[in-house]
Amino acid sequence: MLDHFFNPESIAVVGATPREGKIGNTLLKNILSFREQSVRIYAVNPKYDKILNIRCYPSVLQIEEGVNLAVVAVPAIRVPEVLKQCGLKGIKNVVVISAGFKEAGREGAVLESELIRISEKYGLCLVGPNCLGIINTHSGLNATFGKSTPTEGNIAFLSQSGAFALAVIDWAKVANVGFSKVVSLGNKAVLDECGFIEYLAKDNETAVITMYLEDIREGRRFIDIVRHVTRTKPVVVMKSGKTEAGAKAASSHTGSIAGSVEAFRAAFQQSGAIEANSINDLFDFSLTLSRIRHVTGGIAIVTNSGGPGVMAADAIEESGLGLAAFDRETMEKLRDLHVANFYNPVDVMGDADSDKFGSALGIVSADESVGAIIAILSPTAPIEFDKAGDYVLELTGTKPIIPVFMGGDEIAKTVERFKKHGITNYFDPVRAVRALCAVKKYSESRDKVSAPPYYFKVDRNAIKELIELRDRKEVKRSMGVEGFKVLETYGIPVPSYGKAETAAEALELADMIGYPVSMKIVSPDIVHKTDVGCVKLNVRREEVKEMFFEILHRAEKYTSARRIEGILIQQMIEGGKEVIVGMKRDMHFGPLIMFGLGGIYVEVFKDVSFRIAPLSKEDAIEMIKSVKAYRILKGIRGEPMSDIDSLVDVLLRVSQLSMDFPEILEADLNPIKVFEHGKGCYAIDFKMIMGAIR
Amino acid sequence: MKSLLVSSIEEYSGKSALIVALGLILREKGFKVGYFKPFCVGTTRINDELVDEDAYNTVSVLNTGDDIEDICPVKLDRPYVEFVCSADPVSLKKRVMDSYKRISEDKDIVLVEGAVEYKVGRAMGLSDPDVSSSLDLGALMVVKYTSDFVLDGILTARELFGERLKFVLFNQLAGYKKAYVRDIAERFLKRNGMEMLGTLPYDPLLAGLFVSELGEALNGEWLVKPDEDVIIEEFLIGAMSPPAALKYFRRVRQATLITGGDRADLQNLALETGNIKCLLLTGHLEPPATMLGKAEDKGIPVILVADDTLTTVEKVDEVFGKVRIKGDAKIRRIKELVERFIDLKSLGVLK
Repeated sequence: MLDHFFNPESIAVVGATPREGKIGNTLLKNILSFREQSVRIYAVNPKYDKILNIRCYPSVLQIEEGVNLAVVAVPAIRVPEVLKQCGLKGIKNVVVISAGFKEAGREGAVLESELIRISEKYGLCLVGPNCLGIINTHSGLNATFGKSTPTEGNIAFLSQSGAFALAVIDWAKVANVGFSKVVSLGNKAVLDECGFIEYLAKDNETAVITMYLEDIREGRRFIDIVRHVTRTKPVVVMKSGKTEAGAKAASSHTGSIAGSVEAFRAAFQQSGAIEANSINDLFDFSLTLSRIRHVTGGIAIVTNSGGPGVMAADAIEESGLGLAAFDRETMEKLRDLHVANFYNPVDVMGDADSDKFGSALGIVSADESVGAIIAILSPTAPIEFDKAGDYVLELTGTKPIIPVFMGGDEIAKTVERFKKHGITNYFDPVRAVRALCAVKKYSESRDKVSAPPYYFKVDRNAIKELIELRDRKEVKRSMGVEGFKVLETYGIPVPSYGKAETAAEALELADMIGYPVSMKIVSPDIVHKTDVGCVKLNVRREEVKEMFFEILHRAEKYTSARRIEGILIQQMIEGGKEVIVGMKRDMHFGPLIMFGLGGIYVEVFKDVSFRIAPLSKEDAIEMIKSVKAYRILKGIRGEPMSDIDSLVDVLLRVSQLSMDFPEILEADLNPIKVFEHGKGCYAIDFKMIMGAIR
Repeated sequence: MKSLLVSSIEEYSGKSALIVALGLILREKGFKVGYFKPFCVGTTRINDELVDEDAYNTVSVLNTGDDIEDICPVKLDRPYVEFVCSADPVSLKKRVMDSYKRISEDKDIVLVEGAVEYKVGRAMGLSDPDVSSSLDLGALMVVKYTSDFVLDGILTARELFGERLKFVLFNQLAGYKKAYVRDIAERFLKRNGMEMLGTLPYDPLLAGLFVSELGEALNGEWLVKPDEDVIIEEFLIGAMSPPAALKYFRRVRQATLITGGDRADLQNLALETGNIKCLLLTGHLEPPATMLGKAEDKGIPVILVADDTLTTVEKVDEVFGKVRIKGDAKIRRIKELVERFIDLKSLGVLK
């Protein structure tokens, strides 16, 4: 159904006007320039009989023929009525350009709710409101009020900011960047990016889907759709509002709420979307991905200037791309060419002419270990850029090559030639490397085998009972000692434990568990128990009562006695390495699972990895491998390897718990003590925040 | 006819709530219930009439049909020091006795509410022990369990009341201390001639505040008016980053977020979590229109106040400490709690 937005057979422009400078006038003019002559265009405005030489109707209901697409630019207050008329007329695709909805305040929000209600009633596909409109360069449709139309290309651009879309369209003409489709999403009242990504995946004119987003409301759907789409087409996303200040600004701009940066990153990583952190990145990545989809092998640098070659080498090393190691034959040929350095980067020297540079490119491109080439040229006297450009263009069909022709006037003509061939030239070698890195990321994620989530058999009813029991207590939001039972039921090993409310009970429990024991406060108000002296380790029998009173004494300085549930008496677990497994329910993407090295410095080092549940076994392994502390778990300086399989198991079980019980909003298993391979791990402590989701 | 004086060790212990619940329960069981508050200290003007706020609320629920002048025979209508110097204790006592006689005439039971706390009115012979003695009433002491030392307070009160102090009820007892209750009942109260009637847990709903009360107390401007007058159980101060705030937003329920009007990030986040039922914006900073639109859509009230966050928190804190049992939800809840946690048979009235 979305196809009618881009390839309509008939369009009604509601709010068309003969008054120059008005949105309704520019919009109609843009639409009238539609190349497809067979398309019927109707102006709608009760004040006029004719606008720009076409008949004008009082409302869409008076149009005799059927209409596929309505583009609405009337005052916000009139939009609901127009929408109803579209519904009655059987128009299913509507773009509401008009502003004055939720972005404008309370009355606007009420109006927007009405638009949603009317759209649901009539089954309308609605883009906007408060948007720039839609463009399909290949059919010549420009249903926006922008002054320019971009050139044809194979990049589809979705933007949550209309003004940014306008700026990009204007810039793209100068930069010679072409687009296949442009969609300004506006307030995303009905349609959001997800529907369009699905549509564009099947669009033959689109090679890369590029987006600027401030929020993603249907996080789970976004991941599923993008994961599917990226098997065949790259998706590049720039998500703003990632810092505190940015989130605040985005919140004021669109009313979006700040999701966690980690959740967005994990979502992009798991779905295979390539994340761009700047406008340069967004279009560098998109343009490069529109012509290069694989980098299989190392990167070769061919340059006539040492400095920029070193810059590129640094960037390649830092990005993890890796410089190609040439085979003997390549090096011998390069030596015969009399280059300064026949290892990678290849320095043809400042006195080299374009032919020598071209020969070096040819030799390097024939090497099987080379996945892509960065061709760097400074404007030295012997270089003829036109000729050098020919060599680059010749090679584009055989091996991915990115030109970094550095200069201004000297290179201008060649750069224009590159643009015509859809090739971007970079002044900065680092940008070229970043673009190649995006290609590598894309090809890796595309080729990754998508494993299904891992599930265990557990007694879910037992947990339900526990949660219900907890719900009847006064401290509902935080799971007390019962949380250990939850972990046990999910097959996560925990030490023997019990909760004591009196000193006598504490002694009785400790006798049962066996000495020494650990003793910890149980209170929803005391999260960092060690910080306030509410954890006692290696407690012997004769110390139990004294420690019981001391912990309570310290705790009561920190919180009210009525918020203290008692004291946890626990089997003392010695040794092992400490890791942490956490779960935080993100508002957009659902459960976000975290893994990292544990202990009190976890918040300082932030050596943690994130994935969105449900996890596959491969996800869990990847999470563990991607933290720096993985080397410690593997064992350093003769230490035995830790039981990593048991940690994979815990990650998968926490993932399943988070999927099974939406009531659990947050959970931290910290620390988990992991022992050497084959000896398992124990969740020593935990924190669980419960919600009221049913 | 049996009557019971409900007294307390300190103010805001829950006497009125208990009386409302007891009154409703006893009436359901077929008893004709009366209500009497001999010495009214918390007076205020409602419709130009000087009334005791607590008594006014209780009467509006129990509706015992008695003359309000009899229900509240002595009202503190001037500073207490002036009252002590000018009023005649003998005539006051007579007024109390006469009113009580009229109130109790056709009742099966009269629930008598003590003054602010049991010692108040002692200078004029109007303290709870004095009233208990002059009207020959058995007393029930409502004890808010603020610390273990309330036990000493009970003993001191017992010295003034004598044997008339028969029952003790612990209110707002929660957490690990509950495990000690049996020992307190057995070893402490019984040994001192008193009986434990039961314990009422701390209940956030009862301790909560209606959003209308909050707006009124802070003299704020309603940017978004509430769809319904929800109860606010706790408040949160929003000064952190959204990811950090989310942790706190999730732990609360029925909460008010107090934050600056310029913190659109926190305001929008709060609107999404479902636990924040009211936004209290400080510093007279108008929030963005998008947020107000969303709040309107979700039916979450937004109050704008001129005070800074610190002053607002202080004011809110004060209002929270003085909540009254108003509204159907609270009345229903206190009645449920009393039915569940208190053995009325031990009071003797149901025997």
